[in-house]
Amino acid sequence: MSHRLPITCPSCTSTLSVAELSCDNCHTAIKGKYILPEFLKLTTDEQDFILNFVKESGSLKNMAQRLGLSYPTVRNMLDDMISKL
Amino acid sequence: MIKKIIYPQNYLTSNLGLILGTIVALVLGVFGYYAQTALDGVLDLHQTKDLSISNSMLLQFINWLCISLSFYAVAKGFGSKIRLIDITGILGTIKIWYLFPVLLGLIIHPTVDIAEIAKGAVPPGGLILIGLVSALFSIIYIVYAFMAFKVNSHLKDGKLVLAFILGLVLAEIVSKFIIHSLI
Repeated sequence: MSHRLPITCPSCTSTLSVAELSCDNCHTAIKGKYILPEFLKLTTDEQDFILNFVKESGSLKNMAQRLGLSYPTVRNMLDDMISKL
Repeated sequence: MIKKIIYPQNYLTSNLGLILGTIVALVLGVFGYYAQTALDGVLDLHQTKDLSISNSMLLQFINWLCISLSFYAVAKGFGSKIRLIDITGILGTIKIWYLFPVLLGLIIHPTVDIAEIAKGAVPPGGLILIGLVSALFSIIYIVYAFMAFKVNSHLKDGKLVLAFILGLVLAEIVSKFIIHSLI
């Protein structure tokens, strides 16, 4: 079962960083301090939106059709994500 | 379905909006003629006695054009990415709320003598009822127009409120000016 990646500290709500990476095959572990990619700062729904947006070749019109929403609503969703990033 | 009625601006596509807006304008034009209800201004609605079918139709399209262009121009002035096709479609569609007072006018059909009312005569009860219903549906229309403008312009807080008021006032002034010049 895959868990949702936490991006903020449950204690103080600061942004978390990656401390350890491991290989599923040979179990090699790498420790360090790595910054989370910008994309992961978005919610799962927002990540899905970006993924579908790329799949639709960046067409907001097609995205609106896919989601069953109006064009300005979809454009606003994208604008909000851009300002969030 | 209920969500689409409450929040049409979130679901209505631009092409469908234009089609629905045209149907609403035509229906309001026809019923407005039979009810002798003139929508002479983007928010106004008056009982009259000498409204022709062509003028009734013309009023709908003048109002629609004025409010769409005013909102578009004001939003653009505030730096919005608004599209004319989207705001035109939704504003035409939500005008359907005016169908209720127009239909009421068709049912009640009050006799209007503006000269007598101006002299201080008490207006007929039907006219008062239509006035109250008109005020209610005008408020509903303004609320829907605000929600449509909010989504389409994506302006926030004070800018949104200021742009909406400016757009509405501009639309009302321009529509009144055009209507009184043409009709």
